[in-house]
Amino acid sequence: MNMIPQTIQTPTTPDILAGKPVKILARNVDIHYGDKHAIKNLSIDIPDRAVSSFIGPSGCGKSTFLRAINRMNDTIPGCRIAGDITLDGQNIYDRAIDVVQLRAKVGMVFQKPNPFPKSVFENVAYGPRIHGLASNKTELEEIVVASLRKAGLFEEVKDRLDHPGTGLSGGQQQRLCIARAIAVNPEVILMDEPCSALDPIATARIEELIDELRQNFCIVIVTHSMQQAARVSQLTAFFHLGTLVEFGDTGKVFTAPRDKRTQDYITGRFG
Amino acid sequence: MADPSLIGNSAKISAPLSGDAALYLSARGTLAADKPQTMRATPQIDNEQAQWLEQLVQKGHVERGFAGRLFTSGDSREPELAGLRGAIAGSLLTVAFALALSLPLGVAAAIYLEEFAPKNRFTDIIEVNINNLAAVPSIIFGLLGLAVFLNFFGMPRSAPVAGGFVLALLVLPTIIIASRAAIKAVPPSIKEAALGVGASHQQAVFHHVLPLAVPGILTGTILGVARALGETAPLLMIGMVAFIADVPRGFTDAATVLPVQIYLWSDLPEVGFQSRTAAAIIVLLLVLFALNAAAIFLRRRFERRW
Repeated sequence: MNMIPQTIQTPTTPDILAGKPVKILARNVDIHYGDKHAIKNLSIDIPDRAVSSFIGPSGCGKSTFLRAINRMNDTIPGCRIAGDITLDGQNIYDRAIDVVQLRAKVGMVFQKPNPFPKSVFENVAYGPRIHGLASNKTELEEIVVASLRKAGLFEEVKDRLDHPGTGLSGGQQQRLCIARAIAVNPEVILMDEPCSALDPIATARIEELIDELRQNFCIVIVTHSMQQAARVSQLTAFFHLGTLVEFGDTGKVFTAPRDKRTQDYITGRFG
Repeated sequence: MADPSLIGNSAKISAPLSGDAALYLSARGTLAADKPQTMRATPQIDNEQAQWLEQLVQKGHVERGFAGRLFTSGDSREPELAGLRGAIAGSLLTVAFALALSLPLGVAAAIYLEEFAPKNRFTDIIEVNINNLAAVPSIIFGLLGLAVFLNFFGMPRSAPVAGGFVLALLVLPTIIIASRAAIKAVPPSIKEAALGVGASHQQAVFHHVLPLAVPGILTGTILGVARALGETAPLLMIGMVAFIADVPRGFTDAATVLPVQIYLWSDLPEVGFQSRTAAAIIVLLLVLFALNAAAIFLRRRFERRW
């Protein structure tokens, strides 16, 4: 069993955490890219069934930490991580952890929509297929349709499931990527600036979707837009130069930040 | 007597005109036939033969036609009987053998180096060596084939097996470099997407990266095949330069290939081989054009926009 303390030691203790179980817990995490110290001694508790957003200026390490949660950083040569990150109390950097199973549990949506150059159906069906989630074609179709429905895309693409996913509009592609992530039944969905390549209408559609998904998933979203963080998240974490400056209820972080750096950032004095 | 019913009938038969006779006829217009035999362009045709030819022409028995024999018969000492069938079969066997060896090996090496190999000094050295091998003169590969495949492994001389091994080594660096470039050109976002839904590294590579790299790999391979098909020097070293009249039937039969056949014919003194050589060059060039066109077509056809 792991010996990681379960007490909350984040810089601020969000009130909202009181009623929610902790899903992801990080203690004293340091991440290096070669010589660069990207994340410095970070500790955070991320609750289940809520949207937590990471904000901060470019290069502050928010994406780096996000990618540490499903070990996506493993693919980057020269990236080292120290400290503990646990998912439901289990250390994800433990030797016994199967990275593939972890990534099935912790899905990811990327900055640029990146559907596979295959049909809409195949895009969503790929995950369930490699994980053996469907025993026959009917089950697979059910999973695909259910995932597309949850991602709010089914009505728009039901007549062209066999058309290439890359032929959809940008916003539809991003929702297709969300459907693809949902299809493998994840517990956590990580979103790395999911709306930065989209127009305001598509962005609004994705934000609505994020709000719906919060009923069933633990969602962590990195965003450049403070308005977006304020709109979609219940908790906000402010990163600056690799450290987690402040983490708390979104309302409080934006209206009454405890740290001067947070205040300077949200009032637009730097960033 | 296979078919006695033919007795008593007359049938039209045709035979190819000898090279000398053909040359005599084609030069007839410019050189007067009444000149002494030694002064004519074709001193091999004596006056009596010249008269026979004139008679045949007058009776309309001399026809021009497509020299189909070029594709149906093997090599011969007589230019009018010589054909490319042996060389074409030899080229096919040799290049097919070379491709069967170098394509899987080359693509596997490219996938390993690009996706799985650790980045260290050892793989750096391998990388530099592959790039250098692509620039090694082909005759060196021929010497290697002679020393290793023929003398050490005792492979049959002049055989498509030995030629195939040599050409495989020759095109291997080309295929590896082209395949690596094609794999590298697949956007990393596709691989990340696959990893993001819980695909293993192998699954991400074989399900997503490799299929997208296939057009590039094919293009590189076709260009490699075109190079192998046009290669002469290394095959001279392993004895594929011999006069072989039979059409090869297997990988271990003695054979020659198209470019070597051109080299052989161009060296022969009989004037009739001039046109044979020209025809063989056209055949080789057409094949190479077709291969390059296929490469361009594949590249266009499968080009993707992300």
